[in-house]
Amino acid sequence: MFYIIFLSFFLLSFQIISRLDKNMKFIERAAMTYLLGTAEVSLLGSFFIYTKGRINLLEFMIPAIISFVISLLIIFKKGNTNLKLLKRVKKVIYGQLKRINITSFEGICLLIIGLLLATTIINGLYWPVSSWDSLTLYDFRGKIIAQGFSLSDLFKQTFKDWDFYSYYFSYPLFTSILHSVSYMTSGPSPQIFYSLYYVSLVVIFYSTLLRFSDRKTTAFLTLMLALSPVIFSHTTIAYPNLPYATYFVTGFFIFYRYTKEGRPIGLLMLSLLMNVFAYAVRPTEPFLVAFALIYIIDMLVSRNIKTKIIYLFLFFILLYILNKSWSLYFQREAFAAISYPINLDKRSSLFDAGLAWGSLRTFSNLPEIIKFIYNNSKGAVSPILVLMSATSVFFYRNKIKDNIYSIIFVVACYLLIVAGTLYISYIYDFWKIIGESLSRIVIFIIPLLLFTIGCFWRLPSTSILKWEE
Amino acid sequence: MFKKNKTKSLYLRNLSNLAVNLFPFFAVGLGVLIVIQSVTYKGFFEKNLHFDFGLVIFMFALYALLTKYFILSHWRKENLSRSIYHTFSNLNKLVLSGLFVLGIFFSVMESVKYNNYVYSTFHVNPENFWGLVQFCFLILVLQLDSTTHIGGVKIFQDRWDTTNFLNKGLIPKSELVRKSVFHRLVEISIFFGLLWVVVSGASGVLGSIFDQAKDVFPHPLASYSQKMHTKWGVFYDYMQLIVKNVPSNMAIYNPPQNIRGIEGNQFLIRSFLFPRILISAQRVSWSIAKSEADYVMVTDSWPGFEPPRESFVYLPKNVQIFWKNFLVYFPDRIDKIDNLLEIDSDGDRKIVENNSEEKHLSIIYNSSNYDYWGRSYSRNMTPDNISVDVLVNQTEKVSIVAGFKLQNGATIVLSSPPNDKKEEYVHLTITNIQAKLDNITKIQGLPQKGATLSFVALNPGQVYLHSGYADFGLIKIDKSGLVDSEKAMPKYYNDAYFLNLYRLAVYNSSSKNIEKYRTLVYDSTSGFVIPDDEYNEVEKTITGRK
Repeated sequence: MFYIIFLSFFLLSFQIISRLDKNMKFIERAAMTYLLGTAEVSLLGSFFIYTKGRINLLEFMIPAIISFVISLLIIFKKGNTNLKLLKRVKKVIYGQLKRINITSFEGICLLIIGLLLATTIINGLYWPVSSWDSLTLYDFRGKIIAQGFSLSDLFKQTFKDWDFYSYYFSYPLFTSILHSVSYMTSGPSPQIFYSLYYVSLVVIFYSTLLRFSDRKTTAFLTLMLALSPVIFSHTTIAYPNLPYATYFVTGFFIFYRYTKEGRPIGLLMLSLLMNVFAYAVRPTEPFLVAFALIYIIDMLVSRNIKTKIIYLFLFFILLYILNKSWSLYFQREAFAAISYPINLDKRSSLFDAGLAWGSLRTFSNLPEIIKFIYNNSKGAVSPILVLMSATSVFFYRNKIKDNIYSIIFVVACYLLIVAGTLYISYIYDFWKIIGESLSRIVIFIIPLLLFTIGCFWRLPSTSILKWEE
Repeated sequence: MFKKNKTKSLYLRNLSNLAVNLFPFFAVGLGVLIVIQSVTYKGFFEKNLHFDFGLVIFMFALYALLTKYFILSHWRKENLSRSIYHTFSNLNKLVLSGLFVLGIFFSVMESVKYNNYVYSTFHVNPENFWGLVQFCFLILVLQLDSTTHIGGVKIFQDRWDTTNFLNKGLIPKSELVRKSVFHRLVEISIFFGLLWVVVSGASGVLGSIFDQAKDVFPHPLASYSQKMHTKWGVFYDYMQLIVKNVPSNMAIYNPPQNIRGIEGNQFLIRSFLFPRILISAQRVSWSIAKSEADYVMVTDSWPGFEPPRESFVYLPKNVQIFWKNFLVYFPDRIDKIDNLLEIDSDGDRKIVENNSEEKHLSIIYNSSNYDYWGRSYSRNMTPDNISVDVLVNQTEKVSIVAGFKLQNGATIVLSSPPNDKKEEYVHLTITNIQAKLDNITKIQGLPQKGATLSFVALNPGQVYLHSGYADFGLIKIDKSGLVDSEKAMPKYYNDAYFLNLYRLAVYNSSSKNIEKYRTLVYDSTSGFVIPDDEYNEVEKTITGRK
């Protein structure tokens, strides 16, 4: 059942991805398919939860079957190119294998990456969800949904502990739905989703950077991404930070390609879609502002503003729908369980966050905040990495004009981290204890920095370590 | 290309020879210092020899740069390849690869085994050891010179000489060599910077992979429970114990989070116990909760009171006892007990070993209130004193008990305090036996005369709340509403129970409140009086431990 549901949605997603962009290799398309497919399953589940409070497996099967039929129709309509899918896959794999020279530096890098990906998949299939926050929140919600309870039932299980009601509603159900589908269908451990997000991130990073850099540099930087301890550690815990980072970074990569490849509308749509999913995973992150910034800059410098305004408008409408449906659901569930009116916490909304900026009159604790961010993010994002990317940008200044978006994007993200922390520090007294979650939030910076380095710098020959007699 | 510049003074050449030839010795010397630091501790030299190690490293780096300058400007290639510097450089590459592998091995062992494993086994501080790897790496980077090629092009176009820069210019003929020396250096620095990030991150990732894989491959078909036990240990077993014993519509009173960080965290335990209702002791006092809750979680240091219990279950515990000098001092003689016989028990237990030769007793308990191992008597004489030396694998597990049968059929059991240390012999004793007997019979309204000594035993089956048996347990609250007097006459009037209750009260109070709690205990135990010497003894041990 698990595989039927996911394969049906993946099949449809594969067709959608193929329609939106034809210039992708199979492996990249597969990674994108995973991102789109899981998002479809999750949003569909959220829809059921929002409307009825519960998920029924049978209702899940109907859209799965519909999507299966639609994708079959597309495949048959397109003719035999898609029917020979297996043959193509085989050809692609053989082709890739032939090109890899294992003795070369690139080969070694790819081999290590391959081993890492295989290891994380084995771990994902083997281990159950066992990390603290996922047990208490993300996986727990998935479990009770799978057992046929609604979230409002949680209030009935506490005794005078309603102060904590908002904990279970602190993030939308995106990853919890994936968990519950896995539990309902007796599928594999939900931990596998996170391993596959990691695989997707690495694959998409590799195939995107390969378009703008040489193969050795790309392989080396991808190895750096795969070997980044904090990103790897997210495959062993079931936190939504890795899915968020994957959607968000993929959204940027596609947008970057969009600006470089003659601005095809398919890529723009895909990019906006990925950002919508990123918002669906963690709406509290402010980094969509960075995306909106480069979108608007690009809109102003390129032609065809009208269409882009319409897309931007649609984008915000989607965000609004996601936001509103979640908060309406939250209110309904909470009121269903608690008789007295409660002061709903609305601060999580991106839109309200904007209004709160007005109340910030002073930036007096800015130095303290920068120090706090440095101390807490240095474990995740190595300061040397930041230094190296700054160095590459500085020393290859002639390339800045070509790669301006990546620089603006990274700088904007850093500014948003500072701004977000500043904002939190004004609202909560306990902001200093969020250090650990800050270090989890910033993981998406790592692929962005590596990508920026890849756009500017080229790997010197590996004979560097050879001593010539 | 490698002509020696004849205009340079002889003095400079000699200096260059000296600097380059001495470099390996200095480097090895510094390497030895780093090794010493890695087997001792960071700051070893600052403390013992009063010099700043960081400054030494900095001076060495300056010296290394000077050497680099000399090699680039004054040395012929063929001379260099014959020099000790060259041999040293090649050796360094070999050592670096070895050390790097060793460094990764240490990191992996550290994460696979436990923190401080490497230091306790190999006596090497892994963090300082990486300092050695970094040092060799620094020397390697310094070795990059005119003979090192990058993409078929030498990094340094020629000797690092301003005349060359001026004469040949920065733009050579070939397209490949268009970049300046400075640009190339930056390019390589970025590579090494990134390599540095990879290297420092790799040990973490590899450690994490080994950490996960060490359970995957030996047990590929492990069940969900086994995997969760691997991750959460005894805590998971405890949650399973509760799931097994508490119906899903019942309410559980759980410890406060500020006392028990894990078992008191409602969010965490709810993820295992849902849909059972949880009542947190942090928010709801016992006086309110006792009418709402059906079960009470019992953990090592909580609760500080004795809930009326219908049943008590806990995780299986293996109690291992070695005992010697088990003596009963009668007024007329001294009895020595040489082997332990089973006298009475209400426990659900498995006897692993009872060896009278080695004086060793090993039992696994699933639940127990009392379990008496010793010798039966039928003597009208009351002993003055009973004592034993016991070595137990956990604290507060074993006490001496002495049973006295009364004329109405009831038995009074006197008890010593349990062992307060583990893994070492402690002396247990019951004193003032006659006085205690008189006290209990008076207060409980039992016949005062004609008590017969019926057994002397060790009791490893007593459940002391707060003590090891009840590391993780679960009490089903007795909701029958009967007060003590209405219940059937107990089989044993066990003073250990009251004593323990009193100890708990003292344990949970600051010293100024002890009197208050003492009164409270008197009330709640129907006025049971603990003899003054015992009171002092208990108070001393408990307040001392606090």
